[in-house]
Amino acid sequence: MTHTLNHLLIILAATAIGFPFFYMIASSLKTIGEVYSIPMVLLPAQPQWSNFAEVWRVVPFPRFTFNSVVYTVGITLGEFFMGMTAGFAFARLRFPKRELLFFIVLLTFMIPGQITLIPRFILLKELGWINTYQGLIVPELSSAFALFLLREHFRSLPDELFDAAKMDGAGYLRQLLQVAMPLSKPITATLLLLASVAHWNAYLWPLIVTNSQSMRTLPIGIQGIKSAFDFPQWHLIMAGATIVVLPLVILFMFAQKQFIEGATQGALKG
Amino acid sequence: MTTNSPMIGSAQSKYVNRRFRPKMSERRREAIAFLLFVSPNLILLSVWTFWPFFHALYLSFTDWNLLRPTWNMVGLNNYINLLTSATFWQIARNSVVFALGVVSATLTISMALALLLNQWLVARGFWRLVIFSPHITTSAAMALVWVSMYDPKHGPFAAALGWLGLTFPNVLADTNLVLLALMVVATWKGLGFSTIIILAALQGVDRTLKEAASIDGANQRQIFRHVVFPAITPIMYFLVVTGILDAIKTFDLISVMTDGGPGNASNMFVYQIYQEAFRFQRMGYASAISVIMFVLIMSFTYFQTRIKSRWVSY
Repeated sequence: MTHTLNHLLIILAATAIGFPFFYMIASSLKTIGEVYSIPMVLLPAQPQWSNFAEVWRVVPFPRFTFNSVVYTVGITLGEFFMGMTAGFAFARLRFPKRELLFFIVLLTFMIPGQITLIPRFILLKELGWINTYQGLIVPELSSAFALFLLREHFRSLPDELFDAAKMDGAGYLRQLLQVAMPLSKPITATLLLLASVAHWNAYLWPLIVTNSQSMRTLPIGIQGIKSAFDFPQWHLIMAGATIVVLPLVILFMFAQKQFIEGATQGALKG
Repeated sequence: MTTNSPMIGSAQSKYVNRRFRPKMSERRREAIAFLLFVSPNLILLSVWTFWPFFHALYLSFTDWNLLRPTWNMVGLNNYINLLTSATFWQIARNSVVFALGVVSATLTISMALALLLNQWLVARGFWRLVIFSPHITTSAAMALVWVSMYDPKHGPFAAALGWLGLTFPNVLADTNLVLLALMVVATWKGLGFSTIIILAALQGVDRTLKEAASIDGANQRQIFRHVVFPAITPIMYFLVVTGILDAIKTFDLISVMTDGGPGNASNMFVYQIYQEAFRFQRMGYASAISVIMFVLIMSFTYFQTRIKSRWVSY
């Protein structure tokens, strides 16, 4: 009895939560007539796959995609590399007043990005970095999340391993790359995944740094589909949204465990 | 630096002759390695966070407008203008209503979903996947989907209400409903994350405590009230705090769905900063808003650590 009720409730909840995805994909395959019919039709009579080809032409989609990939991969790898080296240093290398320095770094990370937005923009302008990849990527490379989690992780590794490596004459870079990193595969996977998703979805920062169509990333680029016509062509807008969201959904299906562990880890440790 | 003595620990090493290393103490080499490893972060943080922070403070006392070549120090003028403007108080009110609404709705629904997922269910992994999925999707893309769903004539809400003989108002153009409409989207987006976190916390509750309570004759409700909930208060607290901070910083949904309108009915801090700075080029004024927002966030963060001990049990 309770089991039946529980299943009914979960089906209801999942339908409600999943509906926007269903609606997005269904609409992306409709004709303009179906999009504007009253009352709404739930499914297209004939799936219009050509909508995807059309949206690809209406706005410079290939360019947006390329920009999004460069932006996402650039920041994700960059911030991981920086979190890895700094995390290792703060966890395992002795330095006078190390903990105080770490505390200062953490405090700096607490400054929200919204307050630094305007001076950052000014600096980018001075450097001529507006509408450039370095402008998109470099200011965003420091990540508290990666640094903090990797430091915690490196601290938890047994000292003996590093002592043994030192006896073999391994320098600190080798200790990091050949001793610590092979023992950090799960956390590496989690961090890379979470960071990729966060940067793929980023909106405010790329919006500030870019103003030319050719440098826009996908989340901003698809907003332009709406204004490309006299009245909104919702089937094309939904096709654009699907193209942006679908890679994430597929990634999520394959790496559900890492996503969920990453989310809980961040919460339980933070 | 020490003199010609061989480096400690590396005398037998095969690496010792490979390249010339300056002879120095182990401690010193370690300190240099530390600096090399840490400096990229320190440099970037100084240039792109530390300096901008202080520069924002400075700008907030100027009347700098990108359209003009010169600017003046104007003291507290920006702050005075801001605090006496109706727009500012509207934004502040919107943020409070939005944050409290989203956090209470998200946590209530998430708690129910987490309790449900903590039961025996067929295909539990699949349900968890569906519920979590909004969290990983692109806000700016899903906001477009919600705009389309909120359509007063052609959307699913209009169709469902029309079937009941009712009309669905144009929620995004209605001063009284627009904030609620955004709250629904933010709640939809956020509940997967809190559900997963609460679920993990529920699964971490000591089984023996629950069994002991049950042996003492407590019913399910009492066990939840007196055993389970106290055990997960730290996590609930974390979710309330981060939820409020995230909600106050909302930008994507406003930018895509409403542009802060109609009027300023759905405007909030970050969108207003964006508008003042990047539409009207009023950098000084926009900086003052960002400083006030920062002060609010920091006061909230401080205040929450003070009230934490009142209801969080560890």
